[in-house]
Amino acid sequence: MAVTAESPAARPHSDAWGRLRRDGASMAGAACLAALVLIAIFAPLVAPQDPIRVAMRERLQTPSRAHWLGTDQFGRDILSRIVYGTRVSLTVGLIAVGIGLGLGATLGLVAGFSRRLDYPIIAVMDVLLSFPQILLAIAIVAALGPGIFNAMIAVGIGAVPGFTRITRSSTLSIRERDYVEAARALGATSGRIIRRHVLPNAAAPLIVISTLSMAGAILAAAILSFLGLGARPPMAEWGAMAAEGRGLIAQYPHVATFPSLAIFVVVLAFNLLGDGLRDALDPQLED
Amino acid sequence: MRVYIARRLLLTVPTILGTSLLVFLILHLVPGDPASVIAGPTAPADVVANIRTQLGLDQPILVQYWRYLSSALHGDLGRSILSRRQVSDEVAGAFLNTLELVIAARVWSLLIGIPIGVLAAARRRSIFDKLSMVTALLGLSLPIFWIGLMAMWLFAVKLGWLPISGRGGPIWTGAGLLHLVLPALTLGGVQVPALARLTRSSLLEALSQDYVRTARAKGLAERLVVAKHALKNAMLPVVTVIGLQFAGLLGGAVVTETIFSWPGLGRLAVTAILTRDFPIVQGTILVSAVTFVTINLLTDFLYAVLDPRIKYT
Amino acid sequence: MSSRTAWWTALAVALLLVIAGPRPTAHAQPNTLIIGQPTDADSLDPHKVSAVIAVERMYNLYDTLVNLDFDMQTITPGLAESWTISPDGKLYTFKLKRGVKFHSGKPFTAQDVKYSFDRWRDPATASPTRSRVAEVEEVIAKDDQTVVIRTKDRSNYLLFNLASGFASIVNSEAIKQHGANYGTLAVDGTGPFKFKEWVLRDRFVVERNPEYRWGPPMFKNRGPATLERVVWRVIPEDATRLFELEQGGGINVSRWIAFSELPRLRKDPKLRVVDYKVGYVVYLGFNMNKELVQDIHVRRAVNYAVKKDDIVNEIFYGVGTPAQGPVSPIVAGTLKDVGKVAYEYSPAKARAQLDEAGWKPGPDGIRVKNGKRLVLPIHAIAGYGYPDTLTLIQAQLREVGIDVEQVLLEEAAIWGRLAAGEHTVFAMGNPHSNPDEILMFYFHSRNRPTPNRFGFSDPKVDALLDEGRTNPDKKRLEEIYAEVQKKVIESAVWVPLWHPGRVMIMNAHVTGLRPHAVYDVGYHKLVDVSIAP
Repeated sequence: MAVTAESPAARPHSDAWGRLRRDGASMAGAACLAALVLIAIFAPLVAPQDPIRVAMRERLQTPSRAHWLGTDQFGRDILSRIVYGTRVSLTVGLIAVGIGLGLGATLGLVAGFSRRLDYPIIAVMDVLLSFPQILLAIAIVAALGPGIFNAMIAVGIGAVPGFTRITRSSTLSIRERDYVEAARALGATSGRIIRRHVLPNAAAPLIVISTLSMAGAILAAAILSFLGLGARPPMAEWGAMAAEGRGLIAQYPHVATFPSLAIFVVVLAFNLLGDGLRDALDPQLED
Repeated sequence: MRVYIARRLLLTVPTILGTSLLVFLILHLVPGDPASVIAGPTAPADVVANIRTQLGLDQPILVQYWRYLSSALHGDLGRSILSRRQVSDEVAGAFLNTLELVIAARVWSLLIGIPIGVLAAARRRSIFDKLSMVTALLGLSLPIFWIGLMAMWLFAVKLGWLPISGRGGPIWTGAGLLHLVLPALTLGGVQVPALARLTRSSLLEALSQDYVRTARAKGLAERLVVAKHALKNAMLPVVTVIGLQFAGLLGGAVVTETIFSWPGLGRLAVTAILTRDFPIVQGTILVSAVTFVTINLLTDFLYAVLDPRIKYT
Repeated sequence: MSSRTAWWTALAVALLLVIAGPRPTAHAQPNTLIIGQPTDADSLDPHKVSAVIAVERMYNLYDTLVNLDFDMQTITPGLAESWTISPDGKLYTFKLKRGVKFHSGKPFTAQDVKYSFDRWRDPATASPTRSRVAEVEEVIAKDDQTVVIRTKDRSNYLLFNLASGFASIVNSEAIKQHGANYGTLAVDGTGPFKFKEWVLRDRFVVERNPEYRWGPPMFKNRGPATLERVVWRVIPEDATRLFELEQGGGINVSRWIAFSELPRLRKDPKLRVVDYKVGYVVYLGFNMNKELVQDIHVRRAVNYAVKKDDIVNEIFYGVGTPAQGPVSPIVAGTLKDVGKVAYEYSPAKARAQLDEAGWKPGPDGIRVKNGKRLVLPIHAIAGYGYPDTLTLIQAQLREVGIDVEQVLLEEAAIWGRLAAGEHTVFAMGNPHSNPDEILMFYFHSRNRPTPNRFGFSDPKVDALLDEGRTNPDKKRLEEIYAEVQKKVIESAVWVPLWHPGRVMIMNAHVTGLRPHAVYDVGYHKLVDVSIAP
């Protein structure tokens, strides 16, 4: 769906902030994320225990005073592992989306502006899109070797086509506008046009997509870890924790459930914020 | 119009070829050796080399790709390195199983998701609207592996209503249908929230358009307005997304297929990638690419049918 | 609107049918054994595979000339009802049973034995297990009932290898007829069960061979099997397999159940838990070509620092025994007083070794020498309990100042990397029914770079191992293998971790199922098995 944006940028954003602030759900999501960021940064202070300390005598305990969320099959404190896992998940989201955004938006701009490069870029994006994203991620991880960093790259590359398309269509629609023609006639360079007109207008959908993609990236990385292709032990990553606990759900469901709930909370927070941003930046904007 | 379709069809060829070459290169440039998996841990080096030669894996990459391509164009997609079966048989079988699962998931998610979205939009800001959208948001955020494990634990183990895992047979048998329920529910369940939300927002957008206001001004019944005019146009983005998601579902079914032991394409592809069973990976990507491209075409076609305003140059 | 109501009604009815309808269970099919496994076999052509999963099925579809008894030491008759060995040990004469037929109906003769073994040995077949019959020079079918095998030299292990699943006798006609599809779309053997159906990665079904009358004396039932059908079901998810066994009745036996469930399952009256021993060792192997572990102090330190009891008790819930040497204690020829030379658990001694080698504890506790941190990358397969084991070892080594980096890879990737020698340490395991199977493969210098992935080379060991294959003197053999094991332990090229125990969990209705340890199959011929109603 096309972006119904208008000329020069300042106006939608000041309205947007106001709209966003009034949206309770998004604010809740934002607050939650802020809290998670703080938890991630101050993890060593927040976590009650060492997340990788093995204590076999204490393993598979249900939530108790000593261990608020219980222990896993190595006696490690689940709460502490979830706290440290926040770091991993947020980093995954940032880097994966960073790659997607950086690479994707750049390619999208180029495709939108250069008629010569447009077709090859779109062709490559089509090829990438014809892989199911999970399989692409698995193939990349298989190529690079398992590990959370490679999983981030894999998920990031998978996100590129989406960003490329959005940026390209934004660019294309802006390029046709009268004021851009006028600016060109007056001698403005492409670079200036990009900075003053394209980017501010592409910003809105890009912000929304980035936020929502964070949720998707965290989920994708969790799934990769669940399949055994992401974080390596003893790293505390939520998907890997759920994977380690999945054989135990008959008797000790808490081992897999708490990390799954953590994933749920983060993804929900990003979704709430993303939704709110979308509504705020343009009430009629849709995906 | 026909020219457009012909051109689109023609353009799919380089896409599919490009995909196949890309996958081939990735796999072969990646460390990993199916010959040693076959040989086992105590085989001496010469035996492993022997197997590798037999499989043609010691040839240069482009030679291998050329061999693959020329056989493929004759309809022979080769044999799986590990299972020795014809790739076309294995992949076709797995593909049909996944198709079964994906269509079942799709159908039930459409049956639940779209009506919810329509009702939510029609009764905007009502309790129903707020509640369903909140639930949808919650549902969107739950990881699919946890949903699958919990569903299995609750319905199959604790309550004993449904079989625990596996495919029970063709879909027209009782056993086949029963085994399909839980995996389809899990896979479809993850789609419902997104569909509901998308339907709602797209319908709301359509309802605010000028032509709808005109219809209302003309005094047409609200239901008619919604049904005839708005709904048709609202379906456009929904159709696009359904199309896009379909190809994604093939791979996204991986987790569902793993948990429920469903012998589908996702599981096959993952196993093949991990065991470096190159011919099978090529086969699965080929099927996936063709599916994606076909669905893209169909989606565009449907789009054109639903919205006569769109012109094709 | 009526069409919409009709849709909803139809949906509701469908849902009701689904919920109310009958659930298919294993007991709907009487007299069927359903085995649950996480992965499927690839092919059942004995000359094309090496996997355990394939062997257990091949034992049921085919017969071998001889069999290894449950005691893992005695060779008993199979298709050969008797045999003699010439005094110089180079000529084996087998007398074959009469009246044996393949499933296709073709009568079995010595020609089939010759064909099978020739094909096994032929480099063109590219059999992964070819080296098991490397000493065979010629196979002669003297007449329909007599086969003669000539070997290059005396061989102590030929009969053991002829009892393996890879020595299964195949039908040349079937192989010629099906070509590359043999073993996957068609299987023709003389075994107690016939190939019925194979849905890859879902289920593999065999049905009773009613003509079977030549069962090995190893089993009580020498005739047709009691079971009508055996199904191998592939269930990759652990929790699912457990549910199917415990509650669903979807499978009635499995060897692959999480050990954490054992204490509970042992108390369940609906199930029977059978423990049995196998010849198997899991170890950490050092690559002596890597500088970091060339110093024997480091290798000894790791040997002293690993607490094997914890691995066995905590990860495997007590199923198994800590390993002190490379050869399993249940295998004949294992070093009897291994405790005297093995490394005991002693963090103090580990630290002493490292101190002696100049590795001083750094600020974070990890030892440092010449600015380098003592970090051991350990390669292992990402499954089968290795990740958990490495996590525990990681914690244990940390105590003495060694850091561990886990390099977990899927199977296809790991073998290539190990063959290329990129590893510093790796964790692996192997089944064996005699000392030669472990010691020859791994420690003879001619087996570098693989399967001797350690770069181990000792001419004395080479000579001893070669002698072990040909010298018939039992006492000398004991000395030979004792010597080799001592040398291997002293060199600290390995850290033997544990000898796994095995568990077979079956529904209490299943009777007559006795686990066999050969090649770690668990399920040998299922002729004695029946399911009580």
